[in-house]
Amino acid sequence: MNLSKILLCVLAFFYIVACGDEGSTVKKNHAATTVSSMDHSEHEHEHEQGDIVDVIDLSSVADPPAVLVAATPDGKGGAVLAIELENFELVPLETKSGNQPREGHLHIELDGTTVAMISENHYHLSNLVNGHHEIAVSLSAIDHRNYYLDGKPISDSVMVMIEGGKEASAPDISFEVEIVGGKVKGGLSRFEVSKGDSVEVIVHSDQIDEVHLHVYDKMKKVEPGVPAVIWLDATIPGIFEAELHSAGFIIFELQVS
Amino acid sequence: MTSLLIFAHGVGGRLDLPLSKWQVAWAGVVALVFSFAALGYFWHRPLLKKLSIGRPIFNVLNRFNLFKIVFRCISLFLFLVVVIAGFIGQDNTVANLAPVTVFVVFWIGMTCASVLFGHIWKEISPWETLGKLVDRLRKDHDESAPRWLTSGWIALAPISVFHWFELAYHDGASPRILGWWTLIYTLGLMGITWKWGWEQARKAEGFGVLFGALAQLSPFRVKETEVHNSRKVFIRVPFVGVSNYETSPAQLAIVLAALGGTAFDGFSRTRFWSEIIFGRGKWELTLFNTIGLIWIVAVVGVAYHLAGKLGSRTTGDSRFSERFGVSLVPILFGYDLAHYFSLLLLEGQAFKVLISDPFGKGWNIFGTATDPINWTLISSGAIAWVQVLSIVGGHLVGVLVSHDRGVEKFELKKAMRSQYPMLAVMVLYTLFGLLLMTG
Repeated sequence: MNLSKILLCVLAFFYIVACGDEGSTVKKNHAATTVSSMDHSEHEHEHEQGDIVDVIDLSSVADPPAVLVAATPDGKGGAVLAIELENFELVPLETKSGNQPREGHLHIELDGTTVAMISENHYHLSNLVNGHHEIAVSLSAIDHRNYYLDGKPISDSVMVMIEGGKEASAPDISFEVEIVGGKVKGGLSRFEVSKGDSVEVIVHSDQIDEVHLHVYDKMKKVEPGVPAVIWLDATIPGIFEAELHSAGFIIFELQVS
Repeated sequence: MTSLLIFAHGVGGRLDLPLSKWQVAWAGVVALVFSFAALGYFWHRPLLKKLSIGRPIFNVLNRFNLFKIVFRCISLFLFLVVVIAGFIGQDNTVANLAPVTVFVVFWIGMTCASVLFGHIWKEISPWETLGKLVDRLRKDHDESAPRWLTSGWIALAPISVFHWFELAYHDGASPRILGWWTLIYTLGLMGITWKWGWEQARKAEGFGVLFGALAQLSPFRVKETEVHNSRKVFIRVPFVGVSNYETSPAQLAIVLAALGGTAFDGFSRTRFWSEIIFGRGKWELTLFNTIGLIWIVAVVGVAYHLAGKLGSRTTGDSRFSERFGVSLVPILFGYDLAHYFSLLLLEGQAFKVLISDPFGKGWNIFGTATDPINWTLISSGAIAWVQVLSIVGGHLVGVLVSHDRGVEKFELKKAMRSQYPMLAVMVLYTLFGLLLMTG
């Protein structure tokens, strides 16, 4: 083995890496200006999962902004959001450039998916399915990067109980899991469904946690009194584990055959 | 966020469906009938050794082998990238390049590649490259390597540690842990190389030893020739090459450890085991899994040891266990394929995605960073068939090899007698392997 050849290869690699980086940055900026709600939720999902790469951290700014949200159900399948802001100036969505640490707009998430971007401090969510929903509001810069403080997004969330809206369509099959005192009641269940079924799994817990069903990649928060409802179409065959994140153990298995 | 995703089995998020009862019954019957046929109806003269030589197809030059150099560079490079990714990439099993590379591309991929193409790990292993570089830096080492190194037993250590991290330790697939463990292993190997040279250090590289044994199943054989410093490549019937191979006790132990590890992986996916570890997290889980792993490896090892003892007594051959150790190699490959085939095809796709952004910096080097994983690439029916066929296939080859060994080493009557314990242990492994896959 020749040392110089190795060196050459190393250099070549770094060259490729450097170029790749440049290319992707350009693409990213472009994507941000034409962000669709779908793209965006994926983006944020990434952030939740790992190191923060595409956010603006305001930890070094004096008097960082803050947000508070309150939601009132309208009894007709919707909810009215009242948003209180501190040290934050809303600028019109059309603004394309000039990020300022205390300026930007708001992203509204319904059950973990971005549904709206607004530059007002109130919003009316409508056409929801009856039941519990989580509504979150987070601060975003003009270029749609999220504002972070101490490694966490600057956001606030509330749970609302929606009534008078659309009835949830019934799943083909439904299961329930109850976690009490860090233990799953009745032991480990393997829920067996057929490929193609629409499946609903309701997880109750007496502690705040997050349920994650692998591969189908469903993540839902669970709180005492507010169960996590996982909906999925069973398209992938196999056995899949659902895990309670903070507790770190498996709470049920889903078998799709 | 280290515990964001915990996988019970290395990196697998999707487990295979249990095999249907009739498939298992069918497979078991074939394995049994074939095993008994081996006792009376097979050939009475060694046959496989001749087949394992094969016929020459082409020569390769040792020097100026550009192909090899390119592969070595790629491999060393990937190795460095993966170790760095382990340390600085996202600390999340599914979002980091290291776990999928170690558990799928390296562990399963190299197993399959060795069986398909021969001992290529010896050519492209980053440790081989690094070891040779260290050799260049330091030409005169202490000639007399200690016994623990020359006997090859030390190679059992990395294999055991690897299995423990993969199957028992609750956070074993964490990128940081993998980064540290790869670094420590590499430094250890290079330390040994520094003192006694790579020729000796290679004996401690357990993965190389294991892949070397599996490579004996390959349809390709490489032989050094005197002429022009070149090597000859032979092509032969697949799987039979192993009949020309002798295992040392240490190698035998490594093969058994790998077999036991894979068996425990299957065992840990049964409902029986998931109910035992149900609700246990963190170190409690690690403890239970460690006990389970040791227990299954011990069962597998003791079964073989007893068969060896019995064989020694009936044939009067004190090296009985080692002589027949080679017949375990195809069984190991059968187990590996049955358990990890779907992992390689499905979870393996994550490699393609993550290599585009190895350090989680938002890069997209190959334009594949956002590709979705196609979880329906292969139907569950096809997976089930591959599982049954590989377990039974591994068993059949094992029986053939063992039979051939018997008639080669002993006169006919003794040869048949020598087969009873070997067949018993192989049937045991196979039925156990099939049983594990019924869930």
